[in-house]
Amino acid sequence: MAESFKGGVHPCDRKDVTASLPIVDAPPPARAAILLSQHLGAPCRPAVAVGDRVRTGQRIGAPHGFISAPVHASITGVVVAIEDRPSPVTGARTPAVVIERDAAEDAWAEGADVEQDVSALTPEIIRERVLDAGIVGLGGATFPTHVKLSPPPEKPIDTAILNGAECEPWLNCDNRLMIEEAAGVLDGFRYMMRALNCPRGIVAMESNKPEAARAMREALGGDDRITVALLPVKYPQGAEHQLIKALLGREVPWRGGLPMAVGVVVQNVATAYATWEAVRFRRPITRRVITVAGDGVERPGNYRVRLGTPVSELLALCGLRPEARRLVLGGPMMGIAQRTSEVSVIKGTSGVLALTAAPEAAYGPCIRCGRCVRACPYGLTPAEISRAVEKLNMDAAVEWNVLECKECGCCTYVCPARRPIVQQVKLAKAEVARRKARAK
Amino acid sequence: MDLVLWCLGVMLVLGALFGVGLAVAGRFFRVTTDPRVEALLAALPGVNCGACGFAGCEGYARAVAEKKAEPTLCMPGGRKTSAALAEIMGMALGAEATPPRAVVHCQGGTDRCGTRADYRGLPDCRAAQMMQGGNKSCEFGCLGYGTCAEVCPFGAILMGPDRIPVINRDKCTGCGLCVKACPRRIIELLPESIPVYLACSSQDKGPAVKKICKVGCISCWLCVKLSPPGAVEKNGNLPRLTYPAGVDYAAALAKCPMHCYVKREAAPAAAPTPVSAQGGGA
Repeated sequence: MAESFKGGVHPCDRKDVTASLPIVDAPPPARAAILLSQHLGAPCRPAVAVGDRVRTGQRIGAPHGFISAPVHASITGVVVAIEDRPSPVTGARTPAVVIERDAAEDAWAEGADVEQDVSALTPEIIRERVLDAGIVGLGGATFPTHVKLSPPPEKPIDTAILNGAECEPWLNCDNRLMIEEAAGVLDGFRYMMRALNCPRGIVAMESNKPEAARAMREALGGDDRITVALLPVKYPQGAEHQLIKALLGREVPWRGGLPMAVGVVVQNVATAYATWEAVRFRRPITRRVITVAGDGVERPGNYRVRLGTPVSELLALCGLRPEARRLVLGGPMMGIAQRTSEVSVIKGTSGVLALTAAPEAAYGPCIRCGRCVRACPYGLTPAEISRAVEKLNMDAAVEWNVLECKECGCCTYVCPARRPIVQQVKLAKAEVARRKARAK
Repeated sequence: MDLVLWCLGVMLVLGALFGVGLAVAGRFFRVTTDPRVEALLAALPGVNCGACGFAGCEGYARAVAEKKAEPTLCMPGGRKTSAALAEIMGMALGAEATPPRAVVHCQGGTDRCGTRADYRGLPDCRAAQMMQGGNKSCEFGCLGYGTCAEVCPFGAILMGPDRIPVINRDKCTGCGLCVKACPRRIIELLPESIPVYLACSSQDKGPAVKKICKVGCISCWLCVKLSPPGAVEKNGNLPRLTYPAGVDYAAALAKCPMHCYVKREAAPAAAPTPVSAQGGGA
């Protein structure tokens, strides 16, 4: 078994801040604004009207297209508005269903939260329940899970990987979930393996999670189809391509290659847990575990949060310090900086970070030191991409394979000239996409 | 001596063979080129701006020669180039249309419209827009990082001291590269003959605009009342000027409470400075 992958960086992981803090239920919000687009792919259409009474787990957004997933009410109450709210991903105004909570009642919708018979599960039933529950990749990419569980028949999957690497600093939501809900996570992973008709499973995590590894091994019992693998602590160990390279020595091909091409499917720990809840109890995804941390909060912790909860309420719960300057949703390496705390938690929100340090605005010219080349886990030359984009030469950036970049941020982390390389990559990708659309 | 004769003989035979080969190739593999393409290419300005919609000047010259394109599409060349192209092709030119020139539908510079976040990324409007929709308080107005000035091949756009682009009408050729580059789509090409335009793009409601911008349209619709019927339409929360012949919008220009109507000649009072002189600070 290969030990690692090329490149990568070692940021201070800050896991100690919340690693030993058990998951706590955050109080449900008085008003939840649930975005109708919480996944990659086509946004949902509203399935309720203003004034409707909804119960927890009731479908309020109907999927539209194959690559889409429904959204559900996360609290019981009355729909008070269907209006545009800022998206935490793009910042653009996105349609959302606003629900005012009924203080007296918090009841599951009909058919939800009922124990199911799981003795005769077929892949079709599993996929259907996953789709019904609106499950998407909860690691942050939010790709609809039922699509990932439907590989084409000509691409057999020989290994499923449960991704508990959680290589982003500060975050511990997957770690805590593996410790506290080991059996559920593993059962969810087994359902996924059954849906994929896959004979072998690997539970992968960085070696800084010994407690989680112990819990998972104990929960495994005598199941010899699944092994637990500990990997070196290195960012981005949790990225699909790097995880597959480190565990199996296989390289996912370039030019849009998916793990499926090398017979692998990677699923996040939280996604597996949500799958267990969906298949076993028909509980749609209405909440998720989020790590709230950073030096800008008094009481960091791991919280089980209803979707649609305003981030400002979470920050108030954790005691926001006045010196906090930046708000990032996700991890510090790939998370998205926010302009307001009036955004709602969505399915892909794994972390809320309030940080006191803000980055330098000024950056210098590339000094050709090559640190970014050494750090890039994809084998790219970020320096050249950065220089090409600076001159607005998108064709040159494409020749330097800017489209292979997954924006992990290693290059930007190591750059001594503090060049905003990832942002330049994003700009180049958007420009290339725009040109393609125009050429059509 | 024999050796010398031999060499000469071989060279002569080889030369004759190659000569015949070339003659045959020249005859049977000849590619007929239209001599007019060369002439058309020479008549074009050669800036390869792409405003005509073809891949550079050569692509456009080919299209004209093959009669797939009108000779009037070259924006930087203008009327003169159109006439030259038409002459080469032996075509007659239609009546002269007034050439379009860029205008910026925003005047909410740094001193008139604030920011809603501290943006420290790339000094590029498109990058700023992708970052949570930009840091400007107004979601519709100019972001002020000068991407339009950056992409203008003619140096016709300079960023003003308030970080609103100022268009030099003499240098602007109406190529439209700035229109395509602006992520907020606030630059438009308007025919030279139009004297007045609306310098606001905000679709926000009046009170919201009032809070964030000193020169934003508040949808009072005074201009609709003051102008001849049909000359100003309501487009959401923003007036749309339809420019019917003979309407000069003088009343709207004089009475707009937010001074959103702008006379085209009037450049901002302060002299603009080049982008490069201001540094890339964001």
